Amino acid sequence: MRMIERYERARRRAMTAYAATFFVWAGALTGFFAWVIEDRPLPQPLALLVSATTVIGFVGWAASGLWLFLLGRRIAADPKASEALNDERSRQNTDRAFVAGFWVILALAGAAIVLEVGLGVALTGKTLGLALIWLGVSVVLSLFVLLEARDAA
Amino acid sequence: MRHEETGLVNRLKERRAERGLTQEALAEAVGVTRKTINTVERGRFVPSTVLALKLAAALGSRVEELFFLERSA
Repeated sequence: MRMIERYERARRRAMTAYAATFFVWAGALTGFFAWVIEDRPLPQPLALLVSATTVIGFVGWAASGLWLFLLGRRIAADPKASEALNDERSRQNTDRAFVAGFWVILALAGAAIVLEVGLGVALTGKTLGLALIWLGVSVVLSLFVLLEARDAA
Repeated sequence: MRHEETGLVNRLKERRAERGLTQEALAEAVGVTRKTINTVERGRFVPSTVLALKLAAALGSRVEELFFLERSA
């Protein structure tokens, strides 16, 4: 297997880890703000679980981020690999992932308005902002990984 | 293989096989990843004009021999 294919596989694995750990960490952080920080009723064990997941999730996300960063540097040092790994199909997959993330954020913003105005659920800017980032970014990362994996099959 | 949305048909796999090339070898020749060659062959991806020309050159074919619209087949 040539080096470019090895890089492609490694990138897919690193991005899968990054997407999964981001989903866990950012989700826990959103929950942490929504319940623990804003003092909404939450059973103690669950509050502890959310808090612990926030910390552990962050460590996992940071580690996978470092893996992705170091891999990115190796790829960038090889111009042929860099060009091939950013070929037109990968760029199309990136575009599709970002478009999906845009629509998810739009839908969440709409849902937040319905919750606040229609159902009277109080949402702070911090919680809403974190939720938008959590789900919007997770969708972009996950969809890119899925599209690349489907193409490689 | 036929791309459903556009009706573009390609004979990339057949020509590649005639030349005895793997997907990887062809990918290397035109500067893309193996999975991109795979998606073109399976009719999932319509290559750009530039990539189509590169593929044709790499396979010693004319572009029209590799890619054509179904109605003109």
